[in-house]
Amino acid sequence: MKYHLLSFSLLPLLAPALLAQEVAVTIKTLAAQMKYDTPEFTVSPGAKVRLTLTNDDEMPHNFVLTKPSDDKGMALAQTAWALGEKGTEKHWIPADPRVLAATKTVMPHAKEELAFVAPTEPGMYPYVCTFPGHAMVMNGVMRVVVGGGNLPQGSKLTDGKYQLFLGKWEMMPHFSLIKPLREGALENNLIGWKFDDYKNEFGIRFTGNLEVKTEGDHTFRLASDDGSKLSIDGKTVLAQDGIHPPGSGKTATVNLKPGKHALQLDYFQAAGGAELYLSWTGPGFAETWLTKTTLGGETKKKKTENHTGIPLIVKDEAIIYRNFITGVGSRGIAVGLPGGVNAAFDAEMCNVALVWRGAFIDAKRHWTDRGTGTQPPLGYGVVALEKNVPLAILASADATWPASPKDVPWGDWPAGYRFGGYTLDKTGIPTFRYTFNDVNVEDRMEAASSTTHAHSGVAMQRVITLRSEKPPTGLHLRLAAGKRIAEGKNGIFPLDEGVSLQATGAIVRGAELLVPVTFKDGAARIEASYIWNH
Amino acid sequence: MKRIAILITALSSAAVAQKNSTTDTINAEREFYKVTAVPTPPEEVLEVSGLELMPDGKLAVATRRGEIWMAANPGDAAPTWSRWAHGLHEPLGISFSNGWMWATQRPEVTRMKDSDGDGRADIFETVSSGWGINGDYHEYAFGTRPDKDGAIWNVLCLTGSGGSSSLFRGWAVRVFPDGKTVPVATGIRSPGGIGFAPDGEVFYTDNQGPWNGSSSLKHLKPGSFQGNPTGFNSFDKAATRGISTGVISKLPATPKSNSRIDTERGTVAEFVPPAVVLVHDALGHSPTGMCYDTTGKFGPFRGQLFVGEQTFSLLQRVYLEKVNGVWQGAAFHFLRGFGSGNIATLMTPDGVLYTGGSDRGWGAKGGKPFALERVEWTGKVPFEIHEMHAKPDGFELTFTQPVDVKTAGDIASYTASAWTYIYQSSYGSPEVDKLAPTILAATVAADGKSVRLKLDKLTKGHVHAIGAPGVRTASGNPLLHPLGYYTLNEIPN
Repeated sequence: MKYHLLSFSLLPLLAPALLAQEVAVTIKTLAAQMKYDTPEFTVSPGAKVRLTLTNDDEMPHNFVLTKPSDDKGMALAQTAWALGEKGTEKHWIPADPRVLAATKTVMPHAKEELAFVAPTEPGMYPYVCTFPGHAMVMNGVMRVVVGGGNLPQGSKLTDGKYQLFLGKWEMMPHFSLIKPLREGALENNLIGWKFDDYKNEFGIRFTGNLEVKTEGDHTFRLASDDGSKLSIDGKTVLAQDGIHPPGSGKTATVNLKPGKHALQLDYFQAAGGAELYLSWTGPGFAETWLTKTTLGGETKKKKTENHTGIPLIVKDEAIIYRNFITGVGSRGIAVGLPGGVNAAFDAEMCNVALVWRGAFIDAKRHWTDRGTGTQPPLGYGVVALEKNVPLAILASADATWPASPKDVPWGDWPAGYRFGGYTLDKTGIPTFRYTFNDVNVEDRMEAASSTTHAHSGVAMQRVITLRSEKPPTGLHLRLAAGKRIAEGKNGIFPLDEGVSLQATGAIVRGAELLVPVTFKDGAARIEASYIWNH
Repeated sequence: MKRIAILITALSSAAVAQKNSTTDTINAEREFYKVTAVPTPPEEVLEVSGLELMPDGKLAVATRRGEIWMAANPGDAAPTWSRWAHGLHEPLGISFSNGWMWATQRPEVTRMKDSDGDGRADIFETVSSGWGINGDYHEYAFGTRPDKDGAIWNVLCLTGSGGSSSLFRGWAVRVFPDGKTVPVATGIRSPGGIGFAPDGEVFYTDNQGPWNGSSSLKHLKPGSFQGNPTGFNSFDKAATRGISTGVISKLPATPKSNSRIDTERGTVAEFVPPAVVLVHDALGHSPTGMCYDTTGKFGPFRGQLFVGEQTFSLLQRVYLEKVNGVWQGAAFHFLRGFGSGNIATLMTPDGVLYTGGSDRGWGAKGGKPFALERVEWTGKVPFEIHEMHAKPDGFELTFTQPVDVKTAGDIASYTASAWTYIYQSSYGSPEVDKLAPTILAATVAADGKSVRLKLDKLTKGHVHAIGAPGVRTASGNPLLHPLGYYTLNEIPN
């Protein structure tokens, strides 16, 4: 978080209208993580905020400040996703009273400034990126606190560490007498945990140092579910022992001298809800949370969980997600490719069924509870290609394309086809393999770099390689079918709103885009590109 | 006010007593078998769904989230973990053979290889996708390791709890390395695991539900009908599409609902009754995978099966014998108190048993969302009923330690009860046709290691629960688990 306090010393001299705090905030996006670098910042009511969003990621993002909500702005983000193909042109900003301020789309390696006046009502104002699939991890909160912006935040913990213990307790145990299961450094020096494997019957001892700048009374606020005990410099300051819900917390005030002070916070969880909140305030600084979660910020936890997911975030290697994918059939193999493009291969039809850009997929549906139903892509610019086989031998130029096998669960497999699996390269990108009669086929997709495509959009290149010792005559690849194909010119064919297909050697036949397969020395290679124009 | 207080005190001490008895049982079991949690990689969710020991000693762990992890030095306090593969569709059975990792995943049997030696699989070959899936979450597929012919046996769960909307749901199919897929059995409902007995025969566990009065361990005899006719519709669907129905050359006769298995065996020639009923409530709710020890390094139960149990977070022990050509035998409690719902089990050549699983979707007593644990024999021999043999007029019980002749020769040291289940198309069954056989004689063998029990009546098709709570060792110890549940499909001549 970065902000500057302007005119601080002049405040008493200024007219009330000019008393409003002016704050400059810079928020960056973290490359390949789908996150803002700033999870929280604080301003005073009515502050004039100049916010700069710097996009260091390879994907476009935005910043949307919302009215207070208990879901981190997730419901609003979902309204944005519902914009569908209109989303890109509207910068994924829905016309919705919950939107208080928003940037336009900020392209990779670009930045944009947004000026707004902070609400006069104190509270927690979530901000999110409303690009499809981003909001569950790409969010933060603007705290509007009386005097909050004028008083800076206090220092966070330094040298934060944790020790994890397992056990069934009703009162706080003596952790010093128990062997920890594991220990380590606290992420971002914030007290919290993410032990997916333990939701009940565990305890944690958190330790770290607090830097006191000015001598004086410092007030600590502690709330927990279940028990917790705070000590500073070895003396117990606050204790909430036993099994209980967090409530609004207890406070205690301690006089501290400048310098380092050792903090120790013991916590145990029996069963049910597990929450822990600790803050401190002192001379010259506002209430500052030492925990990852802030009291009042996440009280309706369950509701939030309904909106959060398990988004699979593609970094520098491809991610494969084999499951029931909406629009793909039961043998779907989704691939999130580095560079912000994605595809889903249908292993029944041996064909690419979907392509999209942006976020890859949310695994929550299939990785929690019994995993029922099908999961659609998380991103946008989703194009449903056909649910049919890619290759057919056409006896004549006007022979009709074979009808799609209707009923694969009962074994109506496409005639002549056999799916063979896939191989992965060093970056995990799959090459799908299948046979069609005597022809061995490889189908590979990857993000196209801007040097290979002279356009401003994002593209995915698909290369289909065919090999056969007995090359058949009349073999055709059908890349697309649909009435928009006929609108194509200069070798670029519209597939959907804002998405087109470019393929060399393609011929238009009515509403079909076909590529005659010509073997040379037993091999043929067909290249196609899917281009998102925005 | 006072009365209420007393009542509450009484209730809570009863609850404490109850809890202590479970804890006591677990503590008693742990004297003979040590159970150690294997630390899994931090912040990762390892819902164990398959286990294999690699040639280099690493433990391969497949997960319901579709990953395969490798643990180097899995017996150490802190094994080194690395992810070998991801992106599989809920693999439920992995094995390493002939340089390939084989997996049965939801849509297919797959083989995988790390061809460049960087520690991550890079070849994923589809061996066979010869069964249907339609997107229903319940269409699970469990697979074995390759059998002596290199074929993997797969059991294919029905669609939902009691439907069949895709090819070969409710069937078992054998997949050969060349991809040939041979259907071998019908009548399956909802498998939880599949494996081999030491002689190579294939067994699987099937869960309580339609046509299954209780969960049980079943023998996958080629050509057999396992009891649930829901999947019969695949026969015509396959035939009209030119898809082989393998060794199933004709459909079995359709059994009658609201009957008994022993009765329907008379009209359905292919009916193979459950080999061992894993008595619902008494032993568990959801039986899963199985393994066995042939070395004796895992204690005195060489050749017996150890069967996982998801809901109750435990392992059962099964002794099998063949009577009149039909497999049957007894199930016993073995070890309780695992961390999560056991799904996969693996026995290493060193006699170390690994088990793990998850509680996702159905819950498990262990309380953890997932766990991986190692079981080692401490070297102490527990006093247990070792084997139970059916005899024309009763049972022969063998013991892991010589018995005290006085208590073991006293009929008052034993209990006996018997029951069966309604064989019906609706879900599960209560225990019915209950009987209380009388023990007429208890004769201790000269070596003190077995006792011959003579009963007034044996009932074909009934589970016979035989207890020996009064039997002691020479030094006065009682049995660790005094009850055995024997499924009497056949009475020997």
